[in-house]
Order: sequence, then C-alpha cells, then structure tokens
Amino acid sequence: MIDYPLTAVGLVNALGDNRAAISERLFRGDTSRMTPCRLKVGGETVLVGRVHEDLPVLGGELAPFDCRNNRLSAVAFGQIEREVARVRDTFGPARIGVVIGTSTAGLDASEQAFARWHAEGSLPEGYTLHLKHEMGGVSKVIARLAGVTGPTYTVSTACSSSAKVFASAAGLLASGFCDAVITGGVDVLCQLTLNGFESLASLCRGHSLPMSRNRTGLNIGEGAALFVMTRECREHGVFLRGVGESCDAYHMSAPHPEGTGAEVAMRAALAQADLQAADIHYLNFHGTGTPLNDAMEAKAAARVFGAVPCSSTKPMIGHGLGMAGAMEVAFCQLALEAAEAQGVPVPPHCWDGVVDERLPVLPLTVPGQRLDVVGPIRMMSNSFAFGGNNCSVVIEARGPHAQN
Amino acid sequence: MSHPDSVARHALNLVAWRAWSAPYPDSSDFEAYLLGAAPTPAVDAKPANRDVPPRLRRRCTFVSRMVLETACALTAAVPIDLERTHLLFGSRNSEINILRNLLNDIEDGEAVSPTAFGNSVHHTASGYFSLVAKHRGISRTISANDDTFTCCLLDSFDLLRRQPDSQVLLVLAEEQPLTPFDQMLTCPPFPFAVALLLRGGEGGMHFRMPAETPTAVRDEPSVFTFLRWWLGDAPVLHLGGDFGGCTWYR
Repeated sequence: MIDYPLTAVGLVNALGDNRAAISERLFRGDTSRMTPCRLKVGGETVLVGRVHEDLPVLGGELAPFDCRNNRLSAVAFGQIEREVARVRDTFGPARIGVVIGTSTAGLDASEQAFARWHAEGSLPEGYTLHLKHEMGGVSKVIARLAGVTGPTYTVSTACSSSAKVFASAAGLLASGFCDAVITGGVDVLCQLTLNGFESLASLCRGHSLPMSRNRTGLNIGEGAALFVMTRECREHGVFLRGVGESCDAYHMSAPHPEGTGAEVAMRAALAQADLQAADIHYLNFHGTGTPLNDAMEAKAAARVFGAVPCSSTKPMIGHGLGMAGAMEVAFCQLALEAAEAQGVPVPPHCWDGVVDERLPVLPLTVPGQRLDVVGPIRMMSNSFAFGGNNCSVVIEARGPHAQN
Repeated sequence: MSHPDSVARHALNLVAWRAWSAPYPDSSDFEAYLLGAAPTPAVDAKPANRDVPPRLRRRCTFVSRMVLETACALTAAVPIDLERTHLLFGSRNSEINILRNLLNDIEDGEAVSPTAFGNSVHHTASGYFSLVAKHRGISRTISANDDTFTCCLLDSFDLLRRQPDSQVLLVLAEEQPLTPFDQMLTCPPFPFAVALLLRGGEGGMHFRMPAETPTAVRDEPSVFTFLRWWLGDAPVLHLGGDFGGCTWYR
C-alpha cells in the first residue's frame, strides 16, 4: 500500500494556463477551446487542443532547452514553484528527484530543424537535439528549473507515459532514494503525431465523442501537468494510493477487444491501494473516442466497477498522448481540492448524448454534477497506450482538501 | 550531514546477461570486446531473431530486433516465470531513425505509413517483446541521457523490493542515428542491445546512490562500463552520473 501526499499540482492545456481558469472550464464541460489545425500531408483540417496563451521563452542558462514542449513544462512548473522551494529547502536538492512522462518530448523543435535541413541542407543554429528533443532532456530541464539534483529521468510508453511516472516516483520515495519527487507529464502538438494518427484513421473531423454511437476518433492536444509528491506523513490532503500496470500482449496499435489488460491494470491499482471497486467514487476514462478504445474500456470498467460515475475529459483538451495520464490525474486532484459541503464536483462527460447500445451502460457524468461522499474520496484515472501498455492510478482526498 | 538513506547500500543480483551487436553477435565475443580484445571492424548485420514469428519479424524495427534477440536468448537460457518478470527497456534515443524517416516523408508530402508510425514510439521494442513472449506484466521504458542505465537500475531495485519473488528483465539498446541527427547526438560505438536478468536479495552486488566519489561519465554506454566491472575482479565501481551516480560493491 502506498500513501504519498501530492502536495502541489500545476497544469496548462487548451482550457487555460492556470488552475482557476482550467477548473472553471473543466467543471462546466467547455469544449469551445478546441481549434482547427491543417494537416501537413493531405491538407485535411482537424480539431486540436492547442494552448491559447503565449508561452514564455526559456532564456539565460535554459535557452538551449527552449522549445514549445519545454515552455509548456515551464508554465506548469511556475504553479508548483513555491512548493518545490519548500521541499528543496527542507530536504536538500540532492534528495529531490524528477520523473516525467512524455511521448513527443521536443519533437516540435526537431520538426522545424528537419524541415530546414531538408530544404537547405543545414540545421538551424541553436538547435540541440539532446537538450530540446531527446527524451531525457524533458526531465533534465525541469530539474534545472527546480534547482534539484536527485535522480532525474523520463518515462516514455506513449499514451501511458505520465500515468506510469506515478509508479516510478513512488518507487524513488519508497526505496529511500528521494524524499520528494517532481512528477507529471508534458507533450506538444506536432505534425508527425497528427499525420501519424491520421494514417491510422484515428482522427475525427469534429469534436471527439467518447462512448457515443457516433464516435469516429480522437482529437490530439498538448499541455503539461506537474506534481510534487513527498514521503511526508500528512493527515489531510490528496494522496497517491495505487498504480496498476499491465500489458495486453495482443497487438502493437490496437487494444485487446475485451479490455482484459485494462481490467488487470484497474484491479492492480485497487490492490495496491488496498481498496475495493466500491471504494472508488469517480473514474476518469482513457476515453479517446475511437471505436476500439471506448468499446474495450467500457467493457472492462463495467466488469470492474459495475456502475461508477465516469467521464472522458479528452473532448475539452484533446488526447494529450504522453501527458494525458498526468493531466487526467491533475483533473481528479482539482476536483478533490474543490470538495465542499455541497459535494465534490466531477468533470462532465462531453458528448452528443447518443448511446451506443453495444456498450455496457455506465453512469456518465453531466455538467454541474457533484458527488455526495462521506469520508475519504477516491478517484481512478485510466491510460492505455500503443504496445498494449496499460496503467491505472488511484488518488484519494482526506480531510479539508484545499491546499493551494 | 548526509541523509541516512543516501549512504545506505542496496542489494541487487545480476543472474545472467546476453548481448547482441553487429560486430559481436555472440555474447562471448561481446565479452571479449569488453575485456580488451582488439575491436572488430564495423559490419552491417541484423539479428537472426529465430524466436520471432516471421510475420512479426518483418514489422519489427532494428532496435526491436536487437532487443528481442537478447531478451529471448536470456529467457530461453534461464528458466523464468514471465508472470513474475517485469520488463524495463532503457534507451536514450530508441526509434530516432524511424522518426527521422517519418519526418522526411512528411517533408516530401508523402502519406505516413501506419506501421512506421506505430513503430516510432520510444517503447516500440518493449511492445514487440510483450507480443512475442506473451508478457502481460509491468513494462516500463526509461530515458535519461547519460544516466539511462543507472536510472533503470534504480527503477529495477524498487520493483524487486516491492515483489521480492519477482525479477527484472532489463534491456538497454541504442542504434546509430541517421543524418542529420548523427551531428547532434552521442553515438554508441556500434548498434547494440544488452539484456540483464536482475533479482533482489543479498548475495550479489550492492550499490549506494550517490557515488562515494564524484566520477565523470565515460565516453561509452554505462552498461558497457558496468558489465566490464562485473566480469572483472575490481571490488568497487564508481559509475558517474548527473545526480552523482552510484558506487557498486561486490
């Protein structure tokens, strides 16, 4: 059993660049921030979850890391900076680790650099692949921002990357290698991922419609979500309770149709948290809006939970790929921290309301819905990736929850 | 004053290992290379992958084929319960050449190949291992620049600590990046994969993190440095790293 406090969360995505704006739009179910984007190959237009706000350029000693992906990290980091300073001062920089999930890293920078090389035969001045794009650079830049020197690494398993970071970060705490870990995920919009998912016929043309009979695919998004997790003993707050991991061993780019691996991951997360399915009050679906994902996930969730309030938040920000896991845990944390006497707000399921009769009936949440829970409140978030790589995360709130 | 956990020694056992590289396709030749045999000229070769069904083999990337060659050889040589085995794949740049060719296709205005796109993710090799070996357990992929190997060991240690009856199949692999990325990245001396079977408990090696003595990272993959020490007689190895690295003791 694990019980590590998540003492701060920072996030940026299509809904905004600060917690207040994101919370307001999240619980309202705002899908209006999705924007059109033209694919470089074929010229089709799709909706994407691009961050609207200007992102600060990384300067000074961080200039070699500057790219849109790392700017997203810097925005999320700005929201946890005070808590990072506290743990750094308390434990020392060498006792703070960094574990970040990503699938793109700074691929945006390499796309631009490669285009220049392709056209002119030379790479742009200042392009440094190992700092801007190499997977390990994603976590290194956050360590630099934080001024910490503990173990620093990146987990990259496509769409489950930043769910799995919670397991690795908890491991660094449990093994005694660190006293606090900055963890989370970041991914940036790129033509390669957009055109790649188009080649798989996975992109829809309008808004994604998870669990709908009319669902035809996903929207891609970008953003960053960062947490501070410590091994301090606390009575109140939001805590990481369990992480479940599994593989389908079925197909490289399609999930097992019955969701057997997804079910194993959800049950493993419950087992690590020492909880029963009935102890979970809300499930954040992976919920991409593709026919295959939603079918298998609905079946697996119905087998594990029977009925639990659930939703996909991807129609509001797009599928964040390598950052999706952390972002959706961050949404759960925003909900838990917003708990008050009138109940706990939950992100609504945004869709066209057209039920797919082939799927098990699940209680999809609606705008304004609140959970009426006495005692600890627990939420699970699912993430499923290429290669049949699955991960589920359970977090729990106890006591007065507002922290930031 | 040091934190008590920062001077603690942690036990880890290397049960067996296998390596594949183009100039040294047999682990014994690779061992001789590590221990100082004259380098063999670079050659262009692919792993045989006799354990991989041909239909799957044709779809595999070069990195995946190297990973499968070593991981399958290890699981064939040492009886292991796959249900109690965690896979950890460590690579700095993994499928950088698949990505590079996709970028080229996009610049040429050509449609992206769905197979190539599916093969472009960093953990492609671990996905193929799961398919070939029917591995359904924990599978993680880690990247940390020069610290990739050491961070994989830290992650392995925790998995073995949590489940003392389990084992970790840790595979490190890199290939040499294509132009223009070869100008920017640290290239290994040759494309390689090294698979290590790790177990917990006393009786083998110990390590402490950070290292006792600050040590610069050597100009070779850290797993080469580590294996050379493990195969030799030196009692201690200081393995450098950004976060202070580790010291290993027999």
